[in-house]
Amino acid sequence: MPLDLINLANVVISGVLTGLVYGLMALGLSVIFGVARIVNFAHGEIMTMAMYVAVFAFAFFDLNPFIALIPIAAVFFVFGYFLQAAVINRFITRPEQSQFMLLLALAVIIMNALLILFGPDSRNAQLDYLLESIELGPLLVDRGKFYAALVACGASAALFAFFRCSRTGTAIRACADNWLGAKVVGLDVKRLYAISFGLGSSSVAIAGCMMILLFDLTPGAGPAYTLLAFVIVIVGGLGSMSGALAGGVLIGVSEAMAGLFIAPSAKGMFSFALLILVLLFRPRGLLGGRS
Amino acid sequence: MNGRAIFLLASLGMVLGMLPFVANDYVLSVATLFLFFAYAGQAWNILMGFAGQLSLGHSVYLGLGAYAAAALHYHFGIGPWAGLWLSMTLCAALGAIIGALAFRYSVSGVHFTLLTIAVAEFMRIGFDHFTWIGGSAGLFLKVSQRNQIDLLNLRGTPAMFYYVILALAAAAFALSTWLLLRRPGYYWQAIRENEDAAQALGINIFRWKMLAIIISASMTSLGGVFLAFYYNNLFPEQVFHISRSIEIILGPIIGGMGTLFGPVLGAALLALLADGATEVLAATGWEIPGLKQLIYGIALFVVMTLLPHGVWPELARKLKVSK
Amino acid sequence: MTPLLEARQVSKAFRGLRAVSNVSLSVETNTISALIGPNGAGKTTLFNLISGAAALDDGKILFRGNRIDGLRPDQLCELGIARTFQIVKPFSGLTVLDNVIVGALKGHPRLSDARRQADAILEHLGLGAKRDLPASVLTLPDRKRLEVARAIATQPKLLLLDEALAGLRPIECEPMIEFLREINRRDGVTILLIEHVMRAVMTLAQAVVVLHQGEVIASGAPEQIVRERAVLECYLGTGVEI
Repeated sequence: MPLDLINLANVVISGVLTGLVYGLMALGLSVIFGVARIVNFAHGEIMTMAMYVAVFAFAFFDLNPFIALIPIAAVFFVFGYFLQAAVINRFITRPEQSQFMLLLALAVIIMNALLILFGPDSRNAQLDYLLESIELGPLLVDRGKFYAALVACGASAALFAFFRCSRTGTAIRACADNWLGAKVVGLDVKRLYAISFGLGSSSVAIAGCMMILLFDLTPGAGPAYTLLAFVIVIVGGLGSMSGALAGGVLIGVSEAMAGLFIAPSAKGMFSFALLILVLLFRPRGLLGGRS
Repeated sequence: MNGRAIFLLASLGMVLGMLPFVANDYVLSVATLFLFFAYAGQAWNILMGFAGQLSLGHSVYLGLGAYAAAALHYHFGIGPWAGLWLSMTLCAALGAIIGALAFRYSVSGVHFTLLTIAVAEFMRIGFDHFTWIGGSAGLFLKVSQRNQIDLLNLRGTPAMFYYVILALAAAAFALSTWLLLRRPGYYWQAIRENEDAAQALGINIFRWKMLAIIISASMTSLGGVFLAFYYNNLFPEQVFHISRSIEIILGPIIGGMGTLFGPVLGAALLALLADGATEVLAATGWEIPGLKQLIYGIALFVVMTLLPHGVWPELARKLKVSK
Repeated sequence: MTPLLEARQVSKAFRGLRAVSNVSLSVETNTISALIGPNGAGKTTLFNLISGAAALDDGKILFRGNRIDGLRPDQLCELGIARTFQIVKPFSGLTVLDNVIVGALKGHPRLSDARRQADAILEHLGLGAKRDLPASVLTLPDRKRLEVARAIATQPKLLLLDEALAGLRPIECEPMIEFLREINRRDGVTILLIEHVMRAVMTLAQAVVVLHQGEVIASGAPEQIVRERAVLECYLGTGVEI
């Protein structure tokens, strides 16, 4: 059965690559939740917005997503920053269910605004050279996925570096660890939260740019991505950055496998079943603790 | 409840009771939808407004309840009045399972919410593959004759459906009132406000939370039965979708969670807003899908930022009426 | 006669730190006892162990001769143990009266009876005029009183008060002290209180237990323990002449 094994390997690799992009998406959520404790129910919607921007950048300005992602990341950083600073920061002291509902409202608004503006048709960005496959021995790797995964790794690495090495990054980690203590030491907590949300937005925007190479885009895609991000983040461990990436890969691979062995449309069930189990029995996640 | 409240309620009751005699079919359909959301909102409110557990997966009870009764009717010809018992039982059981697991394992707050979403999504995809009830292609009940009223099989005129949902909504209101003003209401609110203190006062947290979720689930299932027979078709993609869950919670949140009249007021406001907008648009000739949902989202956003306790508490104060 | 409450060699450690270490004490029925000691001595932890909010590592706790360690707080309330919290936990969204009704419902199946009892208790504690206010608008002293009122409403045999007087001005302490003395004398409620307000301890308590770093360093009548060297040392440090 060497052919089957190769087929399996291809599927696994494909899953890993997709999973890395998922991981970047989840990383954004992990940063937002890990620091500001905001349960960002609009996460998928923010990514969907970025995806539309990327699609139109490609359609009208011929900017391929790999280039467009730089200005898009910047724009979304600003967007996230101001969203947190102007709106969400007022909700920090409110019970978390209030925050949740505020973000839910935002999600509904964004999703339907997108529907109204762009219509229900699905779109994507087709780059011809991405349709080729790279050959690694007997294995076939989809070029588009490969590059997307590279970008995802790069962005994640940049994020990791920021948090480990920069001053602001360290301040943000301090904030996440101990909000009150950070305030006492003089850190401007609200500003740090805003930066975190900005970073989270950025990450998810970059992930979005990559996502349009992998999947079709519809205005209603947001909630599914939000839920996927939550599955990954919870399975990987809330607040753990490496957990988010690892979780992404895990979900990517299991979705790919589920698609291979069971009906492809049922693969969602697997993710949700996993989420239910993790929520019940290991809420701190399978893979990580705190970042 | 003070005299004013009773008077206002009675007036409202009269207006609603008379509606089919004066309104056209379109208004009646809007009113039916309003009453449906008032009903479902009340059911949800028991778990959230009273006991403080945010469920964003209530569509699962709608769907399960709808499919149970519809399947019995479709496959075995069993009428909805008998079928609803299966619906309620199944949903009560599902609610009990979710509750038992969640509350036993201390899944609360946002984790609980995510759990409820995951269960609903799981069921949605599952039912998409459940061929006995039609799978993703849907389940179609025989379309009703518009002018014959067959109450036993819930087939009939729009007015008939209107009165059925009116009765349900009224019953839900009465039940919520009865529960809120007695021990269950006190104990649930205590749990919502501060679990530790509630426990120290002798309240068995687990038992009371279970009661809340079971009642909420059973009530919501009846809403599902109504939906099945009102629309005559069911698709897992629609009835289990998270948008249904969101629609259910909009009324109580905008109107005021934890209050008796909040869900009703909220449902009414939303119905007026959204359908008013659609009407205006229809008059100008545009058709914008998604506008209704957008308005819902904006309304929710506005309420969360400006009136976090909902519209009703403020209004109640001005009208000098209690909850 | 069996003591109402007995702790036998109770220990509790949090990640290596021994919060309560081999503590034994007993509280006789119908008495008022006080648990004192410097901050961090383990007093609230001991309360948490007695009231079921935390689990023992070692030892036993007996109530009327029966073991109660391991029971949940609501089960203990059924048995007749009520407690207040050091950081008050009012039901902010409910009115003052409703707060107490929640407590009163334990012993009164009918709402009207519960309401009547709640009213009486509020009157007694001087909160009657504020019965319809939301608990969130109360001042701290009033919240403390509400906390006590709620606990009393469950008709306990044993009332555990965790710093019920902290934050109150002397003039506010008097009515509370009087109230506690009265429910002890008239209704036979046994009281165990954690207190820093020494005046209350001296006037109310018939028995005092002193905790220091998780251990009992003295116990007995107030006048007697106040003179014990170990007690003075733990409050004032060594090298003090009396």
